[in-house]
Amino acid sequence: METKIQLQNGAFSYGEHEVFSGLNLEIAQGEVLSILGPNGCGKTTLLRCLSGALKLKTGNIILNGKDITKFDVIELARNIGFLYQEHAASFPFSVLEVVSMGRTPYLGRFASPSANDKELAEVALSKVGMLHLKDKPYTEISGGERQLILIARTLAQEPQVILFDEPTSHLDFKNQALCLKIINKLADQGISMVMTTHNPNQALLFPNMAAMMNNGKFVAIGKADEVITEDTLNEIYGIDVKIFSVPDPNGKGTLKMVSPWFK
Amino acid sequence: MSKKKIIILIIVPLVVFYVSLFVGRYFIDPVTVLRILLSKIFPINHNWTSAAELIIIQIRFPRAVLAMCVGAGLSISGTAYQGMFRNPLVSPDILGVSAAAGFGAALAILFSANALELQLAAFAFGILGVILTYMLARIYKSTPTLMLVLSGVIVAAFFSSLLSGAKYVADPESKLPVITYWLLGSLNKASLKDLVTVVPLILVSSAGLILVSWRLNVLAMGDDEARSMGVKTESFKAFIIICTTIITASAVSVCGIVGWVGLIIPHVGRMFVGPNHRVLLPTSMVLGAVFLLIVDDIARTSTAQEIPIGILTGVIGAPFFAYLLRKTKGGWK
Repeated sequence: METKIQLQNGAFSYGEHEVFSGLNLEIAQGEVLSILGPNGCGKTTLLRCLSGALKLKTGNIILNGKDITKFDVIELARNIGFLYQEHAASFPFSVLEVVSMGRTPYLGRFASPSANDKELAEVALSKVGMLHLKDKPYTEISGGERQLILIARTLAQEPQVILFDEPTSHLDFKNQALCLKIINKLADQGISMVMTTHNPNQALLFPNMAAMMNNGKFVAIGKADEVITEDTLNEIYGIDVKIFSVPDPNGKGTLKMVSPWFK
Repeated sequence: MSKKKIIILIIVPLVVFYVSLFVGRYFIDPVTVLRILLSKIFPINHNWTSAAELIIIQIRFPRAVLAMCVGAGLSISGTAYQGMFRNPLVSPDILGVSAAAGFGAALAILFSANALELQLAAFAFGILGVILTYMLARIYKSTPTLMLVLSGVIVAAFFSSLLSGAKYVADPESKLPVITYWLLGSLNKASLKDLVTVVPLILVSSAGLILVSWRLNVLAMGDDEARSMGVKTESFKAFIIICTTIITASAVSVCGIVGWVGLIIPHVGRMFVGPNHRVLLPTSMVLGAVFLLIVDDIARTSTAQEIPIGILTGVIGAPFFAYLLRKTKGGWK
């Protein structure tokens, strides 16, 4: 399948402090890459580099066959969506206004969203199942709903690649499930995604790709069930865990699960 | 926005403006006011005294226009800054423009400058103050919000101290009262000439802000998110700072330091039409124009000696802000 985004021998440092180096990855259309790793291992910085917000110190990022440094801010926004881990709400914009903001890269400098843009924003809202909230102030909905609204805003950008920085970290179980279902659905629609997570079980739900990261290096990258093993988890987190297989309820072989109980 | 609100925002300023022309110690009846105004456009028989015409055309008309422009300008600046800083407690002088302009004016007074030179000095120092703040805040090719705010505090404190120094050395019989009175703010020096200097500067910069109002919504999501949605945040923030600084420096240069307007009017606007800057910026302008014009009318008519407008905006603004604070329980959301 067509490669959407590719990182070649990427390295980044803040001044003297090296965050990561020697990283390679390649994501095809509709693939989901989960990146697992302890706090401070460089996951978020890697995402920021992939989004074009930070420039690599060495190496290249190739988006749709073109070096990412050749894209301007608007082109980047049309191709890459970014869901930040923290969103500090400021003013009580309506949900539809917030989602319409995703149309900004398609608007003229002095324009505001047209009726057509608002329609596209409504389509994005219905994709995440939140159309009924469109007139509510986005400051007066739950954290889970807000996360889905922000996903809708990213979808309104019509990106081919979406980067998620710990998309489920602040969500309750129901909203975690909703969020993961949406990511799965978007993958089926051909959107490529990179997601950082702290939950290996969550990474195992997206079997085609995962990476284990520690101290700015990939310890392993490849198929999720081959990468997430008792050994690699021990290596990056320094704890012993047990991985066991359960029959996939959808009848596609087995699913792997990680349990922290180890005897 | 509903039709009713649009009509209110058009009718109220017109009515307040008209009323402002005939109230005052020298009362001129409303019909004569209208005739005098129309006589500038249509040939109408002069049946009024030349004093009445002088008061309307040379004094009250420019003063009312100026009050509205200053009120509108400070309000749109405050609204734009609150959006950009994502903080409802920000006012137009957060980057030090007022403090620096105040020192510029005091310096001009010390050197016995004429009115025009004073105005230029205030304007130039106001701009200089913000340039200093911006340079101080710039690190790694970016200007983080926190750095801007802290740099603004530093620059404002620096110029406030210089201002204190200027007051200390000023002649307490002649110069000091002038400085003090100037700092309290007043529109009583308004003249027709201001309508061709200060007013266009304020209106053009305001139009600039209104043009980019949608992007201001996006910027209110935070720098990172705005960039991910295709906004060049650094140059955009610089543009907002330039527009608001020209507006505020113009306003201060012509009428001294008028506080509170740029802080409270954005809140009133948000309560009235919501946070979308596309609607909020023009609404803030109108509300600010009406507010400052009414306050100025009170300032010049309530007592025999004119009350400095900066005192009145504070006396009215502080309790109003307290009321807002209690009502929203500090939430602002």
